[in-house]
Amino acid sequence: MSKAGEDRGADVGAESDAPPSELRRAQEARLLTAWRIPKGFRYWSEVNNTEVGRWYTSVAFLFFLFGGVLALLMRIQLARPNNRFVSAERYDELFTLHGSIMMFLFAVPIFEAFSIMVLPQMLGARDLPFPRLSAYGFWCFLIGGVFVCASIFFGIAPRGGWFMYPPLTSRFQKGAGADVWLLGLSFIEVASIAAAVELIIGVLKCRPPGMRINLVPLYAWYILVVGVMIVFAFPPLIAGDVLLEVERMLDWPFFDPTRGGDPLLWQHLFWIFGHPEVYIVFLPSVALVATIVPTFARTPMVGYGWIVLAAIGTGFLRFGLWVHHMFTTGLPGVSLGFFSAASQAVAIPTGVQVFCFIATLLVGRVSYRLPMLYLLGGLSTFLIGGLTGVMVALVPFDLQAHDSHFVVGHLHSVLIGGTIFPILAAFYYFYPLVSGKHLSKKLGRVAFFLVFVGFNVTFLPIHLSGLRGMPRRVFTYPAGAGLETLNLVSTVGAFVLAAGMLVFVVDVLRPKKKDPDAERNPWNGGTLEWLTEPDKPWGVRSVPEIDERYPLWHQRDFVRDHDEGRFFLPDAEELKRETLLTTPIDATPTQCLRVGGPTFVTHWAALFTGGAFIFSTFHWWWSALASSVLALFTILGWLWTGTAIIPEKAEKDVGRGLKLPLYVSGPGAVGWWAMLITMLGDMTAFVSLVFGYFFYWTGHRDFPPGSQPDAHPGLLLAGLGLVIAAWIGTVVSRRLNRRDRGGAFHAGTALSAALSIAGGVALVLSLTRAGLDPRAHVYGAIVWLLVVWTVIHVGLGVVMHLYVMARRIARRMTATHDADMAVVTLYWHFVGLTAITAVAVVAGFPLAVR
Amino acid sequence: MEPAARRDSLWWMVVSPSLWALHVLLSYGTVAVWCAKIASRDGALDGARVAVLVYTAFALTGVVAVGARGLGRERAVATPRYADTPGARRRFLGYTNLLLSALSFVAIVFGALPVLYLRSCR
Repeated sequence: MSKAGEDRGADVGAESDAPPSELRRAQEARLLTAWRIPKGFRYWSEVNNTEVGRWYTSVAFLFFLFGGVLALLMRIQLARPNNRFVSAERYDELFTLHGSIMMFLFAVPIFEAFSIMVLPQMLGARDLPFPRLSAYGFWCFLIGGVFVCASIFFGIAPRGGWFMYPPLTSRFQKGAGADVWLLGLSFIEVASIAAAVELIIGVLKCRPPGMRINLVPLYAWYILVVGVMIVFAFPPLIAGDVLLEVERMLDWPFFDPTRGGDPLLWQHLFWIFGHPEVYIVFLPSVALVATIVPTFARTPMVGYGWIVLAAIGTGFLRFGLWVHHMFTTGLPGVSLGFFSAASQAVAIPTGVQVFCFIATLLVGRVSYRLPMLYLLGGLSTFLIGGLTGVMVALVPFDLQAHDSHFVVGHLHSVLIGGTIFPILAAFYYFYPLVSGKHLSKKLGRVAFFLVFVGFNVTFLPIHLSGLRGMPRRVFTYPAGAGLETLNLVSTVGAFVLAAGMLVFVVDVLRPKKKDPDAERNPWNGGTLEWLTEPDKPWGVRSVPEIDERYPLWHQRDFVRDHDEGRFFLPDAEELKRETLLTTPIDATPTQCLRVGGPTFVTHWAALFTGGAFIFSTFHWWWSALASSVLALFTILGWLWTGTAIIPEKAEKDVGRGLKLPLYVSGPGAVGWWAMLITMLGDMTAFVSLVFGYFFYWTGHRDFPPGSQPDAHPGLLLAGLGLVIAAWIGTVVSRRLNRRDRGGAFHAGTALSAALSIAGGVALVLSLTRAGLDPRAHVYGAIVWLLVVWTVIHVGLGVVMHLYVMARRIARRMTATHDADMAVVTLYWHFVGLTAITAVAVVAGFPLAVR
Repeated sequence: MEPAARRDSLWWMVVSPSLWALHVLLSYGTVAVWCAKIASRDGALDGARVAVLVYTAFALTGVVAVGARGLGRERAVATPRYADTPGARRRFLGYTNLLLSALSFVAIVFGALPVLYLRSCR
């Protein structure tokens, strides 16, 4: 028995014996029943991480190929001067969709997809805590992605560039294109945040017993950091999307300077998202490198603590870089200085990672197998991108290179070197884990050299054409400007690169029935994912006890103990899907979590949510409303039947003499954590809107403007008072439920709901009574938006009040099983905070400055 | 006696980087408001420079304190940081806190540099 077990004081016994073979077979049969993948049409109702992860990865890769084809069309257009292969408008659509697809439909999703697939395996877990949420995220992604990609075939593709700058997109592009971008991608961002919540909780709570925080696989560290970054980076973009879409639909002038708006606010919100996004894309690939390098160096990673430093350090510093995309917008020089400094500082942790990888390769005895080839190719390409990055981080250089093809060359070196090559390496590395077969060595080498050579032939000239003054996003260039040869070479290179990708795709798709099966751990990796047997649906045979960073290398008889079911949860007596939850620091087991099984409810939920967004694009308001209502009820039905289920017994024996609870409520429960993380993201979006308010203040001589009325202060305060009363009422109701005073609980919750509704009405009245017009001036628009945002949150709070009342009546929530109520109370803390902030800004700030 | 898990927290890891973030936001916000509302677009940075240097002093003090705490914990036990013991876990957390504080220190100094050189809002 490990020291971890002794420290926990849990009586998990000495080295447990293997169960007799008959029992083992019976256990395996039960596990198989619980985790069986449905057949036929019902296959698509599966929610298990391996299946969803596989679909998710495949679809993200298909979008990548589509984005690549768009790039080839652009390269054909640029092959010679004054070319007429595509029109200027079509070219706009091509580069807009290419960038948007690569960032939103490929780079972020493929990392989430891949992590959903392998993270549980790396953590020795059977699944992530919310498999149905992952499935919902995937179906949302599929629907939204197809919608955005298909727009080009119907003449409604967005044309504003992947960063959609207004006023181009707010005033000069009237078609549905910008709406497709704003609504389609917002929809996908919601799915991305859902996956991030899942992955964060996965790393913190689903680790195997004994995997203390100092033993966590580096991949998981990176995923944790990236997950947190998504939760804080995507909401500012969602806030920006809301502003721009509301301006387009309702003519609220957030970005219209003639009515006090400011297009620069979009750039701030976009890049507060957009720069972290680059690292959200890059760090998971570094995570892959940190996983693959030790295997081939045959030694543990050198500088584990330094890599953790680099992951967390980059995670923070990258939030201080956004203005380096805005060096040419006329901000004060000293502001540029701050962001230039931060842009230089981020090179430190990035460099630390690279040095750790190189050190590991030097210390170990490296076997240069195929994935290593891709990694080294990627590392060298990335270094070029990193160095040109330091160049454009310098303000004087950037003033010259901004919006030129030099930047195109820089960003592709970073993204292809830092992301695509490691992802390809990961395909070769993990393919046997997923399918039980190897990809072809020969084709792999051919693909590598085509991609590597093709990449450099394409992008080296692009740097040079940029330095010669060729601007980005312009569909052609004149003859005689010294750009012909460079562009022609680039185009040839692009096709070589594409040929390499084609070889790779052929290799992945070719039938492999005749190929020999791969060994179980073909590369001799040291981390837990290699316990997986591709033909078994349960993930791990038993949830292992960990004493080492590389248990497969260093723990004696580890695989045998796992296979024979000597560890935890070797059985599924009740034929339910179960996994272990542990504490974040020391991974002490706390709960046996039952997770959801196959269902179609996630499909319906995704379909209706998608409908709400897609119908809005075409201004079909009634359909959008109907779709939203259906989505709400589908999700409520899903929660009602699938979450916080009261188990048939309080505790369960999970093996090794350890008994764990089956139901946990409050801060120990994964649902509570999911709400906390989601609401942190929600608050970030709200803070972005508040930032907007103060941004307008700094940009105007008089803000709030004398020409506009203020919201009615008495009604605002009355509304706030009512919302706070509802908040207190919710907290009291939770206590009443805990004391099992059913009547008082219902009265308290109903009163809270009534107070909320009254509060919401008072808040809206404070604006209408004052006659504040959101279309007249940006002041009215931003005040309206802050109030409406608050009222929507209060409204959702009322839905939750009604939900918990119904749960209690149906005996699905009791005094002891009150997980629902704990989550609702947590939500209300955030509603209270939102309302206080909104009213303080809307009512308080005009008083302070007038 | 081995240190208990409840005395260690992952939150300590984010303290130093958060001080850096606060420093950037306050510096940027102060300069933005100063140049927009107090001085003119070509005005002198005077007060804003002082404010940024004061923020810097506070932030660096905080970061050094967190780093020193980390160093103390890293030095407290001799177990290797990859061992499966509570002592190793504490040592590891102390070590990462120390490293993150060092990085934050450098980044804060970087962030303060512009006000040493620039004197106007231009």
